[in-house]
Amino acid sequence: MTTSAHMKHDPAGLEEEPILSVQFDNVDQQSEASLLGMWVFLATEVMFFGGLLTAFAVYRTTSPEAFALASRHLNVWLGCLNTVVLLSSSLTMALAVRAAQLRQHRSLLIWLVATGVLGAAFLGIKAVEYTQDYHENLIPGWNFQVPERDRALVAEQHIDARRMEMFFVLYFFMTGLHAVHLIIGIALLGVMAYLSWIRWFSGGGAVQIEVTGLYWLFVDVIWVFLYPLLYLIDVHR
Amino acid sequence: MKQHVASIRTNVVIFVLLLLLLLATVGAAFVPLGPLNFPLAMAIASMKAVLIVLFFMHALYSHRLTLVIAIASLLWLSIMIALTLADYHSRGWLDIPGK
Repeated sequence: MTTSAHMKHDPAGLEEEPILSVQFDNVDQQSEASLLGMWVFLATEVMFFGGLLTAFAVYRTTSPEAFALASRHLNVWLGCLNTVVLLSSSLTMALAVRAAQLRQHRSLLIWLVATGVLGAAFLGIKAVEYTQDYHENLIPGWNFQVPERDRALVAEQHIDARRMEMFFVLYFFMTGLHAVHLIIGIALLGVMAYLSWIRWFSGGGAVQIEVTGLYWLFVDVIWVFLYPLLYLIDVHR
Repeated sequence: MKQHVASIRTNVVIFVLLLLLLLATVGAAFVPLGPLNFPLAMAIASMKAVLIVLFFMHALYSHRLTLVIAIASLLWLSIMIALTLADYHSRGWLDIPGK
């Protein structure tokens, strides 16, 4: 490693190699260890969301009518818009990782901030949806009532109203847990953007930004599954 | 450092594919396909997830172990869901004396 010698010709440190920690043989092994560690963490996150997904599978398969009926009170189009917002943030995150790899300092900062802004927009739209749910009395355990237009059908087909409420329990826990992950992601992006801005990282922060990107993109993948699971149950009926 | 840098073109193409798949999943939800609606929605979601994981998360270019970890997590998730559903849906199939 010739970091210090290198720095003299490159005061901004843009071409600088990452600093090698003593426990690694070389920088490749070091970056692979970081990335692999993040993937292992994401595997535990799959288990974290997996509990809710399993509960959802059990309730949806045992009371499909109640779930389909309850699901129709979600706003398909706001959910769709939110998916577009989150997919766009995936693109900007991928471009941020690319900028970090190419040591493009300015575009790295722009893409990181853009990703955070898109994440915040997602949360804003989510807040609008939650507000609508509140005004429609759909919050379980607080103000839940079977919506008026469903009452005849619920009585006629003997649909269990408590299972409709259970749909909203799972809806709020799954989207809520997802929102918590997004809030953590936005905070992470803020920290990473600041540290990149002050050029705190060696090696252009390429590995650190990529690890952050893995987390952010994982949260997007979760939403890719939540959207059809929660919003698109038998909407054609 | 050997690093794969995906071109802007690749990133944008994947993004457009993701948007098309989103259109497909919303469109398919409004078409009555009976029992096929749910598997189709999950198949499209899985395609989107695979695109994000392989290209945006660079699993395609990363160390092979990353794919082992990603697939292992899905394997455990499917075991959990499959066995739990098997339990809930097979209850009451047998008459157990005293139950």
